[in-house]
Parts: sequence; structure tokens; C-alpha cells
Amino acid sequence: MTTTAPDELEATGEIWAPPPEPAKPARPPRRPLNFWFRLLSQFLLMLAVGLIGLAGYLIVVTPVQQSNDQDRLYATYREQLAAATAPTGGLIDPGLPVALLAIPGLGFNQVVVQGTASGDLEAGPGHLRNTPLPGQAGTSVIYGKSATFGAPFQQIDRLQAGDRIEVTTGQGAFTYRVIDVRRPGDPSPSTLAKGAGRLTLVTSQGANLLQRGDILLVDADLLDQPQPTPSGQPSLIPREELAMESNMAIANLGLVLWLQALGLALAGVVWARQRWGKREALVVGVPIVVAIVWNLYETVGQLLPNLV
Amino acid sequence: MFGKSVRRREFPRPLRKFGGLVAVLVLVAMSMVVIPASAALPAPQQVAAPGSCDGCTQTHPLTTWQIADPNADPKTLTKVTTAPASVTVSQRTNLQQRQVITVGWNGFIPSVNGGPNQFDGVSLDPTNFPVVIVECWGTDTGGQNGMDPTHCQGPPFTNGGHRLLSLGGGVKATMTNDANEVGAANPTDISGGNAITGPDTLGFTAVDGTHYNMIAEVPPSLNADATAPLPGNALSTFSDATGSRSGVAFEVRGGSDMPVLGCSNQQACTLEVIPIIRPYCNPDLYTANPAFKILVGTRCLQEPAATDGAPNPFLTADGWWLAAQWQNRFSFPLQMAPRPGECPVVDQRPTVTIQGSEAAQTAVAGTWSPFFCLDPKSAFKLTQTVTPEDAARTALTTGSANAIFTSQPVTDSPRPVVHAPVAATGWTVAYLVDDQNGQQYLNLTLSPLLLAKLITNSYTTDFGIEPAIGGNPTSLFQDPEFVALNPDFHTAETRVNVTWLSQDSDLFTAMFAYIDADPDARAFLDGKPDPFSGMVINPAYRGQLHPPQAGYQQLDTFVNPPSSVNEACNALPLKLYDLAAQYAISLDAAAQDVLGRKAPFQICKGGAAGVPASWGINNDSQRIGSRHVLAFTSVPLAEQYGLSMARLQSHSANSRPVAPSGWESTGGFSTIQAALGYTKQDKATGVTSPDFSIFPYNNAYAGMTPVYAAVPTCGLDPAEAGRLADFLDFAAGPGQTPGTLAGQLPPGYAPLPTAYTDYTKTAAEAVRHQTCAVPPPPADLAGAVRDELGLPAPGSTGDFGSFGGSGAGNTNAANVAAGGPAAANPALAPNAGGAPPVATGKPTTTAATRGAGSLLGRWGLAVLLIVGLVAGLLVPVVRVAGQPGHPVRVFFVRVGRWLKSAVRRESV
Repeated sequence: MTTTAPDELEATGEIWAPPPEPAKPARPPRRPLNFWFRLLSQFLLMLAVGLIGLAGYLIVVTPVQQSNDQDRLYATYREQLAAATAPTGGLIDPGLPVALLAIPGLGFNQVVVQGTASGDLEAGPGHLRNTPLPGQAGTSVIYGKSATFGAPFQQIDRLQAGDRIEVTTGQGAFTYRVIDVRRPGDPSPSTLAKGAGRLTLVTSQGANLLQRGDILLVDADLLDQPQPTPSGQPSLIPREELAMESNMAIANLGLVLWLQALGLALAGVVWARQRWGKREALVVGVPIVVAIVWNLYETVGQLLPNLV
Repeated sequence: MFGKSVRRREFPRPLRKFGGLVAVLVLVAMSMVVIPASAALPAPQQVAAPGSCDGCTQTHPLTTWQIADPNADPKTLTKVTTAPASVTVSQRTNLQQRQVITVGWNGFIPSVNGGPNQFDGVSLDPTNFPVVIVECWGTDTGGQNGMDPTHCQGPPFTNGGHRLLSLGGGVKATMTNDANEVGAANPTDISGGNAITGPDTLGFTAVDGTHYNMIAEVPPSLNADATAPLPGNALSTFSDATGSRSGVAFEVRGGSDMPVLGCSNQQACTLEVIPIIRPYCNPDLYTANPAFKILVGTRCLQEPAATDGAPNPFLTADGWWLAAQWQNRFSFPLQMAPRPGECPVVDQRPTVTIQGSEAAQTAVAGTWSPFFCLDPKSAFKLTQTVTPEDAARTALTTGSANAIFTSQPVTDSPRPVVHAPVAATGWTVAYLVDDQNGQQYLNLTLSPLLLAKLITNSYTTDFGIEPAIGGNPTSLFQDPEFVALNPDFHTAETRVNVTWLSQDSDLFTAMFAYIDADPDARAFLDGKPDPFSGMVINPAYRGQLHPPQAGYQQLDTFVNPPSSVNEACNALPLKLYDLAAQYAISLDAAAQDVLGRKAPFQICKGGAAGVPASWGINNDSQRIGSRHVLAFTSVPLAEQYGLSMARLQSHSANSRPVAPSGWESTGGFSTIQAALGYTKQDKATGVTSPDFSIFPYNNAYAGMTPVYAAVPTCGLDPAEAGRLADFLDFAAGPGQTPGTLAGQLPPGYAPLPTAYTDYTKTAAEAVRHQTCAVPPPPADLAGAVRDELGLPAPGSTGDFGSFGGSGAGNTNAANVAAGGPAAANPALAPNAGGAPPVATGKPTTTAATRGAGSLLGRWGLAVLLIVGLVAGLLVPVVRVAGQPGHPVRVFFVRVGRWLKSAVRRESV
């Protein structure tokens, strides 16, 4: 069949013959791809797209998400500080803002949330729940990510002894002075004097941005008078809130479910492509698949260690 | 779109399977992801409670009883338990006499009608559901009968003793097995026929077995009236709205202060914390007697009618020993530190006695002496006789003493004397002060000028006003300079005096040197009005005080005019500032005055009922909530008794207030150790004191005072010289390890830097060999200390950072109070007689930072990215490889065939 005349033209009776094409050299028809190779290549393509997409998500999207969360948390926390209803201790639900952390030398200014599981740290630096809040006596520990989700603590290894860290909580504004930056194997700082306060910032470090193998800590001593610590602080916290732990409990289940959903969606797209046609299937299928993949990426984000 | 014009294509069969296969592959892939991820989990970590000492936290639920079934016969009680509550104490071993520990708890019932003021046994301020803390002799074996409450020193009441519940109606409130109860006809009689209507009282049994009924018979040390030497230490205090408290101070009494308990290293004692709860009974229990509500013993009793506003005694501290409350107690075995007096009398070893400075006594008597006494390898016992330092120096010069502790050099001694540094500590003004809301104030800041005003009696006092200084503020708290330094403190109190030593002391000399070095204070002492408040110095002191001043002097002869306050003594005129003066005979007594909330000025006693009027020392304790006691004492004593220490701030350096520190935290900022870097040295002896011309007031504690052991190097008996040398070696080595075990350096002393301890060791050698020469002291001790600790040179501005390394290297492993070798005597320091541990200048590591390595963190992202890239790169390769006829594939196939044939040709 060489004619390409539309049906309407047939109705008018005109015959429209396209100008003859210049002769093309004959080319043997391309034989179809071996099925298994095609399958493999499709699979590899999906894998590549998925993983590159994950990298893109982690690099591009998560900082935006974290910045959004920070804006929302700051708005909430500002109101709480103004109304003096900010939490100062005891049992605080994870995810609620508890402090404002500022490091003037690094131009760093973020809201600290309660809780240090992977999911909590996606919104910003998190306060380790079984330590007192900053500004109170004792060692207060704050975790932060250093590679993804805005990487708030990426620069803290540049801090040096003597630098200032300022924290604002419901109990007031406090200034800390950095005493050391340490990695595993370095000597721990001295024990705290009775009634004194200390802040420890913890994040991950590694040879490069992709490889965050171990932790990095920054200790700072409180210069102001420590405030009283309300009681009720938990002493044991779930494992996923410890350093370099993934949120396995939630993430595994989520991973399984979202991958299943992805499989079903892809199968659905293939089926729809067969029944409805390629364009229609893509119009319906692409948003669904993108949404599922986004959620899948978020789950993978929780699978990463909480300090990465 | 979805119309006929769309051509339907038949998918080839393989492609239909494509979707299914994708799904299968995805599922396979996800299981492959999940399993390795689980395998990469690091081992679970438990986060331990911070800084806990062994056995210092007890947790158990509180139980109360209810009648299970009102209709059953016989009735049975069932236990109802609350959620677990826990109590924590700060220290329970190696306790010194009258040491203050802190107690905290959560999970109790919030107190009702309690306020910020603790019930202190003087005022009637009953709180419902208080928490009662008592000290008992004996060991608590647990359970209802594990400890007899008659062994405990309970909260006293206004008329003394363990007065208890007044029930009325003949109903008795008893322990079911206390046969010692007064008037107990039949302790278990409930029927109402019991005619005893008086109050029920819990007796007290002393450790020696004597029983007191606590109504007519009360042992002297528990008598709560004004003649008792010490108020009782039992506490009845409140829980906040969440049922918690923290930081409640409890003073532990040893056998010398409370002989009826006799707590010592040999006599076990127990701290009991009893939450008062409401033990319920079923209100419908007895139809014959409706509204029985309270469980007393094991019976349900009617709650006493609330007549005349009296509180329900069952719910107050009064009922702390009732079975229903006693069963919920939290008990902590207490172990007192060994005392030098506990060295066995029959011990044949000779004693090394050192006279002198009380500043050294907290270490010598508290931890060093017990070490020498308890260590079987030690050749001698160590004791100190506390005398004023100038008397000790005289004794050394005249030869009646062979070793003294001093902070000033010994001059004019015929024998050559070496001054070996043994401790770095300081003077302080300890205080317990409450503001106008009854809250304890913790940031008292003093300046040299304020100290000058206090030692010159320049405040007018509220006892009377001396016209010559009539324009001056009434007391320290009204001074505008004080208000400017303590802006957060508000009070209406007008009576504030500092308790001074009645004897001379090198610590006072050090304090006066600090005052004299301040230009404002010096100008004030010379008569110039104070720039902050316009105060003028008391004319009796103008120009009279110059360094060295060894003690407080009362120079004002103004006689207090007759007043209505001490009317009976108007015929016995007293100088105003003798009346207001507060003296203590020792630094320890001064610190105990603050602990006991005593301000020992003069009051008129007698004058009525035939008792002649005379002046005597005020012995009243101030109420908690309105305390205003200050005393000049040493830093280790203030630490031992849990007293707050005033921060020092100097106007001339525009400095920030600095408190003494340096025994628990190093590497951060150690104010006493920092002060060692800015000292001037006596040329002949090497004795140092702060050099106030270069002193970094912002960063170092200006009250730092080192203590030296002055020992002759000529003419001593060789055996004694050897013992003294051993002591000096100990002081330079193991004795500088911070901690509370025997042989360690108690809180309040900062470990000496190597520059100092090296000289001590040199001195020890000179003493041991009696070389009759004094080893020359190091030329620039301050510079050596600065190098060792990483301190900036004098004149640098700004704050000190951390030291280079971890300060003078005291490790924190030694701070574990309950540690020590399991063998032998657990009170011996872990380094008994061994190599000197860590009082060197090298930065010794404490714990090394533990890592939290994560395989997932190290490789997860990288692997994912690499796999993605590789997959992406492989896609065209696979497509090429799978498409027969593609030129590239054809090329590779041809190459492969050529290689195969080449191999075949070779093998042929």
C-alpha cells in the first residue's frame, strides 16, 4: 500500500498524487529485536531512569521540600515563641519545632524539630529525644543531614573552637561556644561540670557527597546560665532515632507496597497501551507512575541513614 | 480519540507477556532490595541514662489497696498499681559528713496545697501528697518489713518528735506490729471501744538500741527546739503538677552530727523516699459505718471529719510510716566515706601530722587520710591539725612542727624550707539566698568594691544607723552597685551580713590582695566615694587597710544606741558592728552556718523571768524561701555542702562574672587552672599568687589560692623525712586525680599542672635525702603553665577557647564515684600506689569518640547511582546486541567468529 490519500479526498473524486519521491536505495528491513534482549533493554532503561531519577530527586527535589518544611515550621514556631507556648521539655511529639538554631559564621539559620528518625530529619535538624533541650543543663544533642534534604549540617565540619552557636528556645536565647570538631577515634570532650550545659551537633561525613559512612560531631559549651529542665524526658528511644539508623520499620513496608504499586501501574500502562492506544495510555499512566515513583523515592529517602 | 479511526494493533504475544514480566521483575527486584538492606543494619545501640551512679536510680510502681468485693465475706483487699515511678539520687557512696546530695523523681502524685516553699518543720504548711525523705540506720531488705520506720529520723514538728495522727473517735492509726506505741492498748482494735484519743506517735529506736517514745523522751539531736545543734535533715517537700521534682537537696548526716543514727563507713544507713498517696478503700464497704474511705494499716477507716480547717492527716507528711505509704518507699543504701578517725586505734603505724591551712583540709581529711589509713601498703597514717597559717608558719620556724600547709611563704626559718605545691583551690563567698518570690537565687555576683564595702562595715545595717555613714545603703542588697551586677535579683531584705573567720587566714590575705588590686576598691579604701552609689567608707577604716591583711577586723567603735529590738540589753551597750558581726571559728563552721541557714549575729537573750539579760549568738535558722546567708569560706567546703558560690566580676576590666571551676570540667574551661597561668612568684620560695596586673578577669577565677606543703630539708629524722617525702610524691601523683574515692582529689580542687607537680617531686627528693638545700623553683611557672594548658599570653583580649589538649589531664573515668577495684577495699582509689595516672599536662584522652559507621550510608547512594548509570549505558549496548543484522552486532559477531577460527587454527 502506497497511497496515503485521506478518505475525504476520495469523496470529492479528485485524485491527488504526491510528486514522485526520489528513489531511495533499497535497504533490507531491520529484523525485530530479539524479545529477551528487548525486555532486558527496557528493564535496564527503566532501572536507569528510576535510579537517575532518584539521584535527581535527592539532589534537586529534597532541598526544595526541606526548605518548604522549614518555612512552615518557622511560621508555626514564631507564633509559639510569641505566645510563650513553645515546648520546653517533657514528652514532645516528634515533628514539632522545638528550637531555632543559628550559626552566624556559616550563615546557618534553621528550625530544629523534635525527633531524629530519618523522616523527622527530612524537615531540618532534629533534637535527640532523650537529651535535654538546648539551653538546659546537660548535653543536648541535635542531629542533621549532611547530603540530602537541604544538607543543613553539611558545613559544620568547618567550625572551629571558639565559634559561636546561637539557639533560641521557649526558655530564651542561648549562646554556645564550639570546643571541638571530632570524628570517630578522636578524644571525647571532658565530662560536663555539674549544672553546665553543652550542645552536640551530629551529622555524617565521608570521602565525598555520595559516601557518608561515619559520623562527625561538634561540641559546644553553653555560655549562659542553664535553664531548669522540665521532667518527663524519655530515657529510651526507638532504635531508628539513633545515629546513622534508617527508618527500617516504616521504610521497608513502604518500599514493598510502593514497588508493588509501581509494578501494578506499569502493568496497567502496558495494558492500557494495548486497549486504548499509546497516547491515551501515557496521558493516564504517566502521572500515576510519576506519583508512585515520587512516593517510592520518599520511602528510599527514609531508608537512607538518618544523618545522610 | 477513542474512535474507529484508531487502528488497533495486535500486540505480538511476547509483548503481552511483557507487562506481566515487568511486574514479576519489579517484585523480584524489590525483594532483592529489602533483604540486603535488612542485612546491613548495624547492631542496635542502647543509649544509657547520662552520668548515673551505680544503684542511684530505683524504679517501681506505687501500690494502693482496694476492697475487692464489698459483698464478699471475709473481705479481701486487692492491690492496684500505678505506672512505674522512679527516684534518682546524685550520689550514695563515699559521702562526707553533712554532704548535700540531690534527689529527683517522677511518676508520683502531684502535691496539693503545696507551694514553692518547702515544709521545713517550723511553719505549719501541710501539703497533701508530699514526698517525705528520711535517713535511717540499718539496711533495707525490701518489702513491708524490710526496714523498721522507728529507725528513721522523721520530719519533726513544732513540739518535737514524731508526732502523728490525731484521729478522734478512738480510732487508732497504727502499724500492725508496732508494740512500742504509746497508749496502744490493742493496736489492732478497730471497734471504737478504744478509749485512747490522744495522738498516735511513732517511736524512735536509736542505733545503740535505746528507744524513745518521742513524746516525753526525745533524743537531743532530734529535738527541734532552739537548743539543738542542728535542725533535723528529714524533708517533707512537694511534687510538681506532673508528679516530678528534680534537684531537691538532702543533707546526709554522719555519725558525728547525728549519733542516734551513727551512719559511718562501718554502720550502714539508708535513704528512704516515701511518696504520700491516697490509699483508697471501697466507699460502700461497711453498711454499718458508711463512708469508710481511707486504708489505714490493713483496714478501711472513716476519713476524719475536716473540723476546724485541719488538714486530713492521712494525706500529709504525718502518715509517712503508715503501712499503706511505707510499702511504696524507695530505698537507697548510703555509704559514708571513711573518716580519718576511723583508722583503728590499735594501728601501729606512725602518724604524719601536718599543721596548717584549712583550705587543704577537705582533701587531706576527706579523701587523702582515709587512703593512707585504709591502704595496707602505706607505711604511715596521715592527719592534719587545722591551725591558722601564720601560727603554723611560726611553729615551723620555731621547730615545733615539721611540716605545714600554707599559702604564703615561710620566712625567717633557720632551717632551709622547701615549698612543695600540693593543691590548687581558692576562697569564695558561699551563699544561700532567696529572692522576694521565695525562689533560690543562683547567680550572685560580687566585685572587689563590694567586698571592700563588706569588710569595712560600710553598710549601715538595720540594727541601728551610724550617723557618719548615714547616707550609705542599709545592706548589700540595697547597694546600687550590687543591683547593677545582679539585675535579675529582687528582694526587700535589708539584713545581709557575711560570716567572717574569727581568725587569720591566708585565704583572707588572698582575698584582700584581690580587693587591693582593683583601682575602684583601693580608692574606696582610701576614702574616695564609690562611683556607683556614692557610698563612703566607714570612717573607722579609712586608710587603715593595706596588704597584707590576714583577717577581718572590727575597727568601728560606734556604740549602738538603745533600741526596741534588743530592749532587755539596753543596759549593756554593744558596738553596732560587734552586734552585727558574724563570726565562725573555722571555714568549715562558716560553711555549715550557710548550710544550716544561720546568721550568727548577736541578739539579746534572757531579761525575763529572772534570767539576766545578756548578749548571745543568734541561733535561729532562716526559713527556706527567705534565706539570706553568706559566708567567707573555701571552694571545696562550698562544694561539699552544696552551697552556691559567688561569681567575681571586676569593674575595671569590664569583665564578665567568673565562678570557680576546674575540678570536673577541663578542656572546656577551667577557671582555677586558668588562674594558675597568670601568677607572680616569690623569688626565693617559688610560692605563687595571682598577678592582678595581668590577670584575665574575664576567664580566670580571681580567688585562686594554691596550697603548699612547707617542709624543712635539713635536720629531720630520716624516717620522718622519708614519710613526708612519700606524702609529697603521693600529692604530686595519685592525689591529683579528681574524684570522691579515698586518695582522690575532691571537688573544689583543680588538678595541678605538671609544671607544679614536677617541682613537688623535686621537693620530695630534697626532703627525702635531707640535702640541706632548697631546690630552686622553676623560673617562670606562669609561663610554663600557659604553655602546658594552651593559655594565651598575658594581655590578650577576648575569651579563652578550649585549652590545647584537655587541660591538666584529669580523666573523667576517675570521676566514677562507685568505681574502684572489686578486690580488697572498694574505697581505695584505683591507682593505689601505682603509677601516677593522669595529672600531667599532656592531653590524655577520655573516652575515644565511638563511631556509628553505616554500610548503607557509605555505599547506598553511590551504589544506586552507579547501577543507574551502568544500566543507562548498557541500554544501547543491549539493544545493539539483541538486534540481528545491526551493523555493530554484525561486526562483533564477525570478530568473534574470526577469533574462534583463529583459536581453532592454533589448536590444530
